[in-house]
Amino acid sequence: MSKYRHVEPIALPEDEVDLNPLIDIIVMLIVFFVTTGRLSKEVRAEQITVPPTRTAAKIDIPPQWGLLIVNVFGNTQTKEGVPRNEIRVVENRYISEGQDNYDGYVKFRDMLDRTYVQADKYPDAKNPALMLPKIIIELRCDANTQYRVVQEVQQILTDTIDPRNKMLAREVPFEQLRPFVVINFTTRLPQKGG
Amino acid sequence: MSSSMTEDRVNMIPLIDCMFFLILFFMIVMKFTPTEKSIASLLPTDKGQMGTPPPSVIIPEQVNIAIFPEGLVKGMQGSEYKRAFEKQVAERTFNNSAYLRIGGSNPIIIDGLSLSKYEEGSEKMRSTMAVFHEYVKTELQKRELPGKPRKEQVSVVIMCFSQMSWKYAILAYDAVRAFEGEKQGKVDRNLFDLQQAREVSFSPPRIRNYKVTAGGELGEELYEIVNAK
Repeated sequence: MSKYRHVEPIALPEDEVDLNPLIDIIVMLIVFFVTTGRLSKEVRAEQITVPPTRTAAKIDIPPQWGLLIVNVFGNTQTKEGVPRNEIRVVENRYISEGQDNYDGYVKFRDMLDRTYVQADKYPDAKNPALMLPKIIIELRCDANTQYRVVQEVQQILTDTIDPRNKMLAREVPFEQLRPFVVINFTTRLPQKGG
Repeated sequence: MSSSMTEDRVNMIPLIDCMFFLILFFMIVMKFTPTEKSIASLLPTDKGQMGTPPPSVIIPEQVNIAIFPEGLVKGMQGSEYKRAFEKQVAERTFNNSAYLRIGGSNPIIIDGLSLSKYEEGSEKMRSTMAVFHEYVKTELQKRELPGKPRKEQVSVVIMCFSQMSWKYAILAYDAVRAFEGEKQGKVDRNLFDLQQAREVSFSPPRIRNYKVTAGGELGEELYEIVNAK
């Protein structure tokens, strides 16, 4: 006689459907979504497709340093419609709309000033009187963002230009500038899937 | 026996309902995006509209990488460049491709459409990038200062026409970094690496409406970039 006892399958009433396979599949789907999904505090605007580069790599943030992701897209001049560019940092949007409008840039610089004050700092290697914040700016620009927008955002980051004064040079002593100079440009590898 | 089993069974319907809600939630909030990576850079603190005063009046030597609309050649007036630019915009061919030129060498054409998201992973995209990287490598090798450390090599400035797409400028930056990486045996990733590296920057700031001439601001800008040495 066999040591294993034959177990009869549970007989269901004729009008009932066996739901166990359905539950199995649903559980598997949930496990898949939970494991593949990435929930993050970092806000990365979805409409941005970053440009491809070959030397892109995953860059670790050193201890004691902060990271600020700056999403950038748009233009400053267009033949059709009103030119518009947008900078997004976390959930804040800084929009400049219209020819020679710098409203978004002014608010963006205000936010940078507040961040600069709060950040740990280190002296600049070229000019030790200038203090630089221990903040890495991840500049996440859409591939089709107008170069002028990216260039102006970089100038605002280095505090060399004054959006409150028609984008002219900042008129303060050099040591009083509040520049952010460590920049990581977000890109993707040319292979499929990044 | 079967009737007693039926009585003991748990009602699974609420459980299935909850699971469907969970699936629905995950499907709505999930975003499948390609893994993004980064290129590290250190912006100069002694350049731009305001910076530390230069130690001497001698203009430092630099290698210019000029990026401008395809078809524009040296020797035209600002107003002619402006007209050529406007014609490309009207014909919707502007920004589809670009000329990239290092120093006084002959420019090469970069197919901008092959760098778009629709070409992701394609052979076309990879070959466009490979051709440009090879061009930069050859041109920078010609301008290499033998025996000098990387930091003392002639600095590189990327001059891109302000109306063009960012993808062209970052591609140029990428190619220079690849060349430097090959020379050093590694690509710069952190602040210390960048402080020891050759200086690569994007063109000096251009004030909006800085000059009003027959060519207008854009015509003058194109004149400067196309004729940059």
